[in-house]
Amino acid sequence: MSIVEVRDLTKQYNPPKGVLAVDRVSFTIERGEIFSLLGPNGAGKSTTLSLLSCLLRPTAGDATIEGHSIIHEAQAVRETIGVVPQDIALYGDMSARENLRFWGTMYGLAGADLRRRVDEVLELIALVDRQNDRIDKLSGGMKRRVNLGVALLHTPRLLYLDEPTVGIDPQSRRAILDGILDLRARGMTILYTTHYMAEAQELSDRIGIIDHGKLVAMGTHEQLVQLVGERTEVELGVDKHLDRVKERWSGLADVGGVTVDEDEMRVTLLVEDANQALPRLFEAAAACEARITSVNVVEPNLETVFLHLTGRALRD
Amino acid sequence: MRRVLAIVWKDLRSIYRQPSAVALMIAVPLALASLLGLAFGGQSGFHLDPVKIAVVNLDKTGGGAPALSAASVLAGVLTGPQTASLLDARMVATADRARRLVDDGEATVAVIVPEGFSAAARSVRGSAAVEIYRDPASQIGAGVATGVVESMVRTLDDARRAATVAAEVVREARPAVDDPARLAEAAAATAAASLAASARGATVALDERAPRLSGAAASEDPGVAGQVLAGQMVLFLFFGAANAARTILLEEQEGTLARLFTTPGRRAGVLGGKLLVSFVTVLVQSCVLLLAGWLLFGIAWGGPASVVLLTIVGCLVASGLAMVIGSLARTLAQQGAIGSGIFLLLALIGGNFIGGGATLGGVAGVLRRITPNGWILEGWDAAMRGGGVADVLLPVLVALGFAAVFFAAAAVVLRRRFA
Repeated sequence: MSIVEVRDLTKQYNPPKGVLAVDRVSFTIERGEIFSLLGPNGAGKSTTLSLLSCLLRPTAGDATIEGHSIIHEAQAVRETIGVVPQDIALYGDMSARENLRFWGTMYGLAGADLRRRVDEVLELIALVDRQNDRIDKLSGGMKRRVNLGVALLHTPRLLYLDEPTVGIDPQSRRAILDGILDLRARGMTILYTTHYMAEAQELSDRIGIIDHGKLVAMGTHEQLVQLVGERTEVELGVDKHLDRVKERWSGLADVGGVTVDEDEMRVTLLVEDANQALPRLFEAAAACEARITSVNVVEPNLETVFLHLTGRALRD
Repeated sequence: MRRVLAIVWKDLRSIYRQPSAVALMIAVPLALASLLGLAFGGQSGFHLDPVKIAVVNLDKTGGGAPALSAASVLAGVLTGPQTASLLDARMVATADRARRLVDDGEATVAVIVPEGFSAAARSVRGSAAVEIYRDPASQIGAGVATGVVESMVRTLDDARRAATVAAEVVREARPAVDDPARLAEAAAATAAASLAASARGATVALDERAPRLSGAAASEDPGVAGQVLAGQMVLFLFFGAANAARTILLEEQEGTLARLFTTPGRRAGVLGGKLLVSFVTVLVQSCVLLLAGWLLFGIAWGGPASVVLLTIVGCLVASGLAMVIGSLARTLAQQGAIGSGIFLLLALIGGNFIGGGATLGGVAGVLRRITPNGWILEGWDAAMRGGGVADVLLPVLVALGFAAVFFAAAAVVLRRRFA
């Protein structure tokens, strides 16, 4: 049985005319798997996590965590999950150890168990030396680690991580990603949200691509890339008349998913065969009195998949 | 329950670690009580030093024996032992000298009895005015001295009116005015007229009221420091509770409240913990203030049972009200502004700045009783005057009613907001 089963999960704020943040999303997560929800900011990733954490009540649909409904058995669901919120949710005037002790008590730990788990988590997040420092005094990366450690205190079977690497230095980011892979190796199931394609690609067993509240595709990295078919992503630099060039290229056969980055004076598109398409693209640009300044042919990846599925770049 | 206690302990530590919060909750009310207590003569109640006055008697036309001179009687009363506790009087020879003493600050008031004063006091149609030359900077002292002089002059004037009435009666008596029987009749008529005037309420009287208390020491003076600190304590309990209640908004903003809601356990437990934080915060604050008031100012707060009841109900009211405001506010700024406004308004109406739970009458007394703090202060006043549990029971029950309403409202709003 899947540890997570989501069925037509829907969240609309102020129905019937309010924002539809999550629109009939369905997916499952198997035990011991890392499942990532990949999508741009505002796609509905965090709202989905809030629904699965019993923080928000769905407008329609339901989900079960280890067979417990998020609507009817919230208490049992909360005992199963650990949640790492996107923003640091710690008490700045308390030390790392005090925070862990407090949150451990909130997760129902006490006495020797609590002390043991606090010590173990401090080891795990490599903050034994700084355990008595106030959170306010720690670096951003260290705070992120404590933020993660809090959710591990009660050894949850399912861990939610909501963009845990936003705004931190590469070294701390690497440490967190390695920690997540280590947790998976220990058998923990992880639901991970991110808008970083590389993170999703590196960590995930399966990925769900979400946009405008809808789950537009789901599968392994390889399965998702196959959705693009034989198409290739090409990035072209153009010196002027960007709009005219875009219009012209959009009209060419076997060219699709044309997007423009006006700041970078760059056009990204998908073609069936780059070798055949490139001469036609040069000709069309010349007809618009524009000159191509750079060409970059990209192997299909999740960015390509997102572009293919939504017509937009993941970074938009 | 362990989770609730963990929340209470965490928040209490956080609150009492903030120097500004401790200053607001404990240092400020103590400082105010100290200043006001010192200003009004310490702990034993209102005390005023005798007012220095200079008296001039310019009346040389009194005639007859000096003891019968109205001017001499007035000067004698002002300088005599009857008024020694209020007035420190000295006789001077001239009006200029008396005024100069006031100008130089050596006297607060100069009382100048004019020439012909005694004759005017005896005459049916005569008139004379006693001059009061007062230091405009001294409101209380000059008022006291002026009041004493006015009282004396009114007494003399009343005597003159009585004599006038008697003279009229005798004049109208026919045929003979020297008939002893007639004169006796006139005297009786004068007495009857005076009685009739009294019956019509012409008599000026003081209406001094105090609560009727059951305790043996019911007349104990609570003292200015006690009155002031009780008022300040109740007011600053509101601010202390508000400071604790703001942790809900603070945690909501910082994301820790949402995280608390993802932990096992009911939301009601988390929110109940927050209510308890507010209550325990002000309970600690109350105990510190009561102890400090007793040790620093020697305030006798009252019997243990009354003190416990009033302390608990005061904390319930303050924490309940603060939670209502905290649950309705969307931002910390909103909570601060709305809370401060409501607390100060309640303090003004409830009499926190004047103390003395039972000394307000009229509209002010009625208005005070629409506020929870007014009732609590009334209870503290009764307790400090030596009243027993029976004397504080009504204020305690009414305030408890307010607290119940506040807590119910806070629970409803919080439940809706975080459902």
